[in-house]
Amino acid sequence: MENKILSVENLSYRIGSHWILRDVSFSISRKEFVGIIGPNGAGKTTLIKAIVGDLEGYSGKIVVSGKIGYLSQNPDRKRDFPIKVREVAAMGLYGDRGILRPFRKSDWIRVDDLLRTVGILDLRDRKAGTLSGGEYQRLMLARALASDPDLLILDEPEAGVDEMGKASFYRLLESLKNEKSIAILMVSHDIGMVFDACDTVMCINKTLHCYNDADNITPEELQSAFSSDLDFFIRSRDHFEREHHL
Amino acid sequence: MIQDFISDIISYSFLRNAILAAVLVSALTGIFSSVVVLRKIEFIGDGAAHATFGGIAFGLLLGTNYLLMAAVTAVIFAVAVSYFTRKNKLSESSVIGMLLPLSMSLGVIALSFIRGYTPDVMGLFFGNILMVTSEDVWMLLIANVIAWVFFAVFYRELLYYSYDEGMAKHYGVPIGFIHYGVLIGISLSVVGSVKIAGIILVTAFLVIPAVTSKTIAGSFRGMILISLAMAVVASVMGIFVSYVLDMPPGPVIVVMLFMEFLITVSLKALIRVRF
Repeated sequence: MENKILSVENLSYRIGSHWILRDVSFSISRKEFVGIIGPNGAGKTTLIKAIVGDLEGYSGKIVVSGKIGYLSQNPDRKRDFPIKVREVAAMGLYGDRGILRPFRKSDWIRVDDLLRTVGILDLRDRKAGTLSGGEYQRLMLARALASDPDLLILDEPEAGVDEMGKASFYRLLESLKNEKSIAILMVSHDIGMVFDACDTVMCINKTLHCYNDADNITPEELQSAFSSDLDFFIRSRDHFEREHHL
Repeated sequence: MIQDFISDIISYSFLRNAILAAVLVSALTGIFSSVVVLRKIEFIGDGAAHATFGGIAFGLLLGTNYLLMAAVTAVIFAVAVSYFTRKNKLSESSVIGMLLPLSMSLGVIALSFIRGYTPDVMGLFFGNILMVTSEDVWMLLIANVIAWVFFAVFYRELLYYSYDEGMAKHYGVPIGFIHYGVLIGISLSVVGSVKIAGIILVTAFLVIPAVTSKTIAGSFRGMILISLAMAVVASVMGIFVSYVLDMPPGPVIVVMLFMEFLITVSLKALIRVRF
């Protein structure tokens, strides 16, 4: 129980009579890497928003034991915005400092350490908008890690990144999970990568269809979550079966 | 020619007031222009300026200090835009697009009730340096001090608010306070600029300096300072050229601002080609 970082109980949310999420319950422990998959409109991002506190009006209970680091969906890179990589990463430390308390030298040292951890320290004085998709994604990860979180939440972090970049990013997440003893909750459309990288896979489509070790998820469980999108399901299952040699 | 200009600045208080006001207006709008351009809320300057017209017209109708009425109207406009945008999830452009013609219409209706002499309405639309008083210069100086203190104290918050409002809020930046501060600051800058730039042209003061500086600035601080320098240089040159060629200063300053933009992007392109 001590290792439990996140506990979600009977989470429901609806807009009018339309259910976005219904009775979703699960928990995540320290050093667990959980991947959330599901078709478009399944409620994945809504679930993330509820956990990070960006959603109002839901019912149920969410308990987070520790700090959350959050990497949002499709962050706007604002290519011509005059802000340096270091300044973007330091944004994650704002909560520790607060208003009218400027960053100290130790904060900037911490920012450099984070940029080193994610492998972009040499880019720290570049304009953030000039980074490539993969570099920018690492910058967003550094920002999310700045507050020294216990739970790292990522919403489709692979968007706009090539295959090599994705594989390298997931390896980085895996090492962070072990080195920093954090839990990771990640929404992704890349089902193959989720099964490769995550310890636990959660299939969601309004309700929780499966929540199990990646090795123990069955095609039937996947089908129940993706039933409304048959083409997608078939492609996913083919990929899934190839990966798992079913 | 320059000697005559300097000699006249010393001799004539109206010219002294005009040039001081132009520099202070440029500094005031220059500092806010970076946030306006980076947040892509250029339309708000237009909206505030037209809201100002409504306030001025009611001030004239009631026989009160019309600039004070303009300031009150501009602040109400800023708060209304913010309130409707945040509470009703309407876009800023939609809300401004509704409030702008409403304020203009109310202003025109108010003017239609004024009997007899009405002050120089055209001067309010396009600026008139003869209207600038020493009290205006002092007010602009105070407004500048408040704006600079606001930017110095909340530099980091303004940077993150401009860059990524959603995540800034997530990390605890007081977005509501900064947002209202910026909108009220822009609105009051517009009111302060009316006599120099005029209601029609004030948007240029709020947009062009930052668009120019954005093309060359490497940091948010650099962008603010370059915007400020661009705006002040354009206003001094604009007043000088308008004095020498006997032209209205507001439009000449706008032309100068645009020439600065053209020169900057041309030089940048030239440097890129050569190196």
